Parts: sequence; C-alpha cells; structure tokens
Amino acid sequence: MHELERGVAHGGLLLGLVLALGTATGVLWYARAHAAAPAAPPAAAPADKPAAPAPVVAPPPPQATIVAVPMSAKGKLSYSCGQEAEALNGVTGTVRVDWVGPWSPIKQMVTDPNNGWQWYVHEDGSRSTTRMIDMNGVPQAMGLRAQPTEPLPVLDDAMLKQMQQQGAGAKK
Amino acid sequence: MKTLHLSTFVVLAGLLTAQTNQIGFTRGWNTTYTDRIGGNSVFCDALNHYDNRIYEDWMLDPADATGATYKFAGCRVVTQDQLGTTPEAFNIVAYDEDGTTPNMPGTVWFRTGQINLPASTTAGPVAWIWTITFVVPSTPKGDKFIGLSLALPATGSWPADGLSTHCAFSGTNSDVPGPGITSVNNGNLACFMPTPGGVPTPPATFPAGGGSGRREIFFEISASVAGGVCVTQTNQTTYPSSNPGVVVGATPLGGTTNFLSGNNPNVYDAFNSAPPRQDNIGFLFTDATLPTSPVFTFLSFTPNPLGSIPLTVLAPPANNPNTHGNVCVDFTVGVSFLNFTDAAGVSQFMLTLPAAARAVLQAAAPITIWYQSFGVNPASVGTLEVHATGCGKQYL
Repeated sequence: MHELERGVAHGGLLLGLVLALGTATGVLWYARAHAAAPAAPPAAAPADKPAAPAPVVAPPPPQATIVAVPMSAKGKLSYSCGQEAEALNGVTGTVRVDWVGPWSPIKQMVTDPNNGWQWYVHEDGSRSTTRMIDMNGVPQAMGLRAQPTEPLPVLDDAMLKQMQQQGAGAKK
Repeated sequence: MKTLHLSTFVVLAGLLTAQTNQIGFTRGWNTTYTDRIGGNSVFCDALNHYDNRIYEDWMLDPADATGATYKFAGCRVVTQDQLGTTPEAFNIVAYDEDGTTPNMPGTVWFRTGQINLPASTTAGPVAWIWTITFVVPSTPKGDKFIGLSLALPATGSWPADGLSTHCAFSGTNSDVPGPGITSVNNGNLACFMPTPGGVPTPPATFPAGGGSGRREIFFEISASVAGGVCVTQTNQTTYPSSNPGVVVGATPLGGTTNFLSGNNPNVYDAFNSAPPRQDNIGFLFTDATLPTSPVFTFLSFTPNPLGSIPLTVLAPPANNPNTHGNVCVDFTVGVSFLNFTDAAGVSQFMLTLPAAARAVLQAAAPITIWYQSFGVNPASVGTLEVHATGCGKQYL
C-alpha cells in the first residue's frame, strides 16, 4: 500500500487538473450564459411527485449487476470474491452477491420450511441465495447474503435516560 | 437437505463487468444497541437521513451525464429478530425528501419486496448482517432517507419479539461527537416512518437527540461511483474503533466515518473531556477499479462557487466513457493533496493537526470543511479517466 501523503498544492499534475477543471468551468459558464434552451431535465420524476407504481425500473444499464444469459441456461450466483454457484429459487440470470471478508465454502443447500426459500449454507454460518424480489412492484433478480452476528441489547427507555444523565455529566 | 459437491463451484475471474464500491459510511464503527428508532409499537420504516448537510453528489448515476440523479446497487444492514423461532421479514426502502417540508421523508423512492429471514431454532435474539445486491431506479439527487422496514410480531409485542436494527449511539459510553453536531437537522440522524397496513403515513419522527439519544443505523451503500467519506481519528477510550491505527472495515489508518464524530469532529476539546480530545480529520477514498492510482483530495471552506459541475463537461462521455462525477468542492481556493490508493483502491488522507492549528480552528469556529477526491486512472491513454467522489463536510 502506498501511503504517500505529501501536500503538493499547485504541483504539476494537480495544476493540470485544476486548469482543466477551470477550463471546463469556463466552458460551462459560457454555455449557460448563451444557452437558448435549458439543459435536458433528468429522466426521473421530480422529488415532490409520488413514485410511479409499476414501470419505474429502467432497463439495466451496461454497468448493472445483472447479466443476461440464454433463456435455456441455468442462472449463476456470482460472489464478488470470485466464486460462483448455481442460482437458486428459479433465477435464470447471473446475479452478483457482494461477499465481504474471507470466502467461506458452501456446505449445503437448504429449503426454508416456512416459506420455501432456498439458501446455500456456508461453513461460517452465512446464508446466500438469489431470488426474484419486487422493486417497486417489478420482479428483479437480487443477490443476498445473511451473515450471523452477535445480537445487541435493546435500547429501552431506562437505558436511554441513564445514557442521557451520563451525557449531561460529560461536560466539565 | 442436499449436500453439494465442491466441484460445483469454480473460481470465477471477471465474469461480471459490474463494479460497485461501498461508499464507506460504515467504516470504523461500533454498534452499541439494537433499536427501532422510536417506532416501538407500530410497523415502520427505520431510515437514516442522508443529508445534503454532510454529503452532496455522492451516489450519482453514471449513466446521467448531467450529474443530476442518484442511483445505487446494493446495501449492507443488520437485522435483529428478538425471537429466532418466529422469523420475521423486511424490505429495503428509500424516500425522497418531502417537497414542502425540508429534511423530512416525503414520497417513496423505492421499496423492495419482502425479504425473509432464514429459519432459526434459537429461542432468543438472532442477528444477521445482510448484503443485498439490486438495481434501484434513478431519482433526482438531494436529501435521501434510506433504511429498512421493521415488522412487529404477529403475536406478542416488542421487545419480546419483533425486528430491529443495529445502530451507533452518541453518549459517554460510546461516541461523543464534537460541537458541530448541534446543527444537525431535526436533532437526530435517523427517523421512523409509520407504515400501518403497509402504507407510509407521514410525518416521520426523529427521536429526541440530546447528548445521548442521537443514533445512526448501520447501513452501507454500494454504487457505481468512487466512494468518498469524511473520517475522524479520535482518542476516545469509549469508542476504540475511532482510534488511529485501529482498522475496522477497511479504514487503513483507523478512524470512524460515522455521522457522529465522523462528520462532527472535536478538534479543540470543546467539552473539556478527559483525556482532552484531539481529533484529527480527513477523507477516505474507495474505488476498486483504481488500485495503486493517484488521488487528489481538495479541501475548502466553501462549495464550488459556480455550482456543482459534471466532469463530463471537461471530458465528454463519447470520448471519455469512464470519467464520472461532479465537481462540487471550491477548487478555486481550496488546498489539494496527492495520495495513492492501495491494491484495493482505498486511500485515506489525514490531517494531523498541531496545537497551533487547533487554536486557530477554535478561534474561527464554527466552520465547515469541504472535501472532495478525484481518482485518476494512470493507465488511460488518449482519454481522461477521472472518478470524482461526492463532497463530504465536517462541522468544527
């Protein structure tokens, strides 16, 4: 890892970037001053309008995490660490699952008796899966990992009051 | 149950072109309690307030050359079910800012369908760290309220059963933010929106803040942008994850990026703490597509005087398809520094403040420091490839 922390205010490369940015600013300023029409509005609805119910999900752009595969192919679950497995729950595309930390191999696949969801169970106790889940009412292939962690105490009113009293005593 | 053969799984290299980065909001964290953000007797959405006060232009949709819309592609959050044998479900949800009442959630930006907790045989609390990948629709940039729905049990009541989420709290047994926290909107960093019958029912409620009631949901966001977050190294013994050299969640030099001390450092011991607070401040850059690359970090006291300008004005996307982000920092008067990313594309810039500088900052308080980083791909030839983070602000 490089941890070079030298202030190079107005150094050569930086100066180039600043000059380039400055040029861009000037161009934009000029363009604004002489524009015959306003810039194209953003595609999405304004913030003060309700979200449209169904067709709000645009087709995935090139950088999206879903990659189309032939309809006949089985889907893939692609972990960000470089591993892959067969997609679950009938998902046919390739779906990415972000995997934070060291890889833990898959032990088995289980089906939840409560709801029929299929999960991979990993050696570290994690579960991972793919599933068609709605996004604003439109089904979308999503990737999920659930990693067990220690439960924390519930913050109740008594604790909060105690903390606030401690907080009041924090200032000298 | 079925045992799978290991041969089913193969090493995969570069199958997907998608590249997202965690913005970095949850680096250097201790979560101290699980909480429903005050919505203890009602189905609700628990939401962090991603306020323009502290971050601007931070998850721009790279497909929008105007730099006017937000989009993200995944999240990381913790659920805790108080009774594992009766597993609940949740949704990821986000709101745009209300059109008439600033700093309050208004209309729904998106809501996912139901996500079921895995089955459990534990007759007590069960907690899961969720990492979820999806594609959300783009929406106009600005204040956002993002979090998860919190169900109540079909039988019984909270906290015997029901869902909650892990949070960082302010307080003397945890993280004590600096004096800048007093200007936080609505007095707190997170709120709950009641959703009786599944219908969002404004207004949202921000719990009382005060010295120890401020809370932030552990909620990380991944997007197709360079991540940039404010980072503060503190000498608090009650919040060791914020100490220099304590590496929690890919903070190379230590420090916290939370909305408490992360955005509101205590650089001049404003509260006469013991030991005296001597926070150091900085900015954390993350872009996995730019390993071992130069990063320019700008500091200023003001935003870009010409407004937020897309980098695509400088480098038209037709010829420079990989340049993205806006220029929101005041680069005309700012000071700039050069760092290099590590092999993971992470670079942490820190300002170690001498006593004289702390005195100057105290005399000038209250002040706001703006940060913005620009990562440059040194391998780009004939094109300009610059990845801009959003602008982060620290209140001193």
